[in-house]
Amino acid sequence: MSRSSTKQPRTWISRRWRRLLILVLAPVFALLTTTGQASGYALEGLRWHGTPTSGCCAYIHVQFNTFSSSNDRSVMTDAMNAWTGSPANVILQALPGNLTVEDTTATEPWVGATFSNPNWGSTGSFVWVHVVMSIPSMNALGYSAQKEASMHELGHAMGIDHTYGCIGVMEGTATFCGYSSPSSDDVAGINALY
Amino acid sequence: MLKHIRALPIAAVAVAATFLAGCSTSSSHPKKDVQVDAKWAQSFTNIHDLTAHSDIAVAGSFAKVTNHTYISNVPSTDFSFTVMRILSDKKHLTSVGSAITIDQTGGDTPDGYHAEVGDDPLFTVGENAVLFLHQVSPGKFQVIGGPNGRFKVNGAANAASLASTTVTPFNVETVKFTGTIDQLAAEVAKP
Repeated sequence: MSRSSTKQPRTWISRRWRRLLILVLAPVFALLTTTGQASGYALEGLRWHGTPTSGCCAYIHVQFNTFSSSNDRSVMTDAMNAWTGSPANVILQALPGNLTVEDTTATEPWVGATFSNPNWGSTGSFVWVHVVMSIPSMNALGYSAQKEASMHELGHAMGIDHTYGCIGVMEGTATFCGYSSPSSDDVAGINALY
Repeated sequence: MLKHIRALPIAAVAVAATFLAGCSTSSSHPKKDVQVDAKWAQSFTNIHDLTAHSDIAVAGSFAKVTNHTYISNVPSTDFSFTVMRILSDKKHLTSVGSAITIDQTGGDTPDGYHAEVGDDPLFTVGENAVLFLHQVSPGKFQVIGGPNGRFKVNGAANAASLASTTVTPFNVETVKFTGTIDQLAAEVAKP
């Protein structure tokens, strides 16, 4: 039986038009669902220059400056290890570099702050980044929140921005969401950069 | 006709790829010398909580910059703030007409950079505001919760016109309030 002689069942829309609709609507659907997922993480528009843009792994040096609190130093080390142990394409190493971490005895309204000097060239890269944790604010928190705050600042120091709704350690409000390691959304943000 | 249909998915994929590439490189930050991201120690969603956690709540005006500090890589700016009205002062820390110091993260660094926190930009001289403050040392205060504890005073306020001046939260996503300073004072005074 030849294909052309097969009688097609009559439907409300012809086969050709149905195909055309699928071809048009499928990319639109894919676009909507993909951007829905991407609305989680946000990027600062900066990354560490000279590191790979995909695959494992970007080696990022973290220079420990003065920590007046040994607890804060220990928590920062744990936060670094949490990022390194996650599926994010980064390995953080305690070595001299342009990303520094330290704490301050000053009373501040923040737990941690990240100061980034950007080079807004064609790609956007960090020149240097200083991460500072406030000892009085850290002392008011338990270990898990301290670690989450430290992971949060390291996330900024690698180029990811705040998110909202407790979908990861990059939570932009004062809330701590109970993450002991970077969430899948945090990892997706880092892996969009490295 | 079939040729046109075959070209459609290619065109659709090209449009989608262009759109997605645009999304992935977008940035919410304006370009500054040094950008600062802070994890605030506290955030508040209503006037009652702001009042409960602050030492004083005052309306007034930023008169001048009095000091810059740079300690542990943190630039800070001290402002002289003239108190025009007291909304709350449980510990009797200030009085109308007095000048208090407001310490805010950000400012100029010794090596010539200018830093500001993205969601809590530096106050400007001449700016009027309502502030919920925590005293860090005698006469020196910080705004609690960063952007949460600052309110914009809309219009040129002075002591005489202050009562009817409208105020709005600096961070409209968290604290919900719209009204005059009189109405805000009434809200603050609620037990």
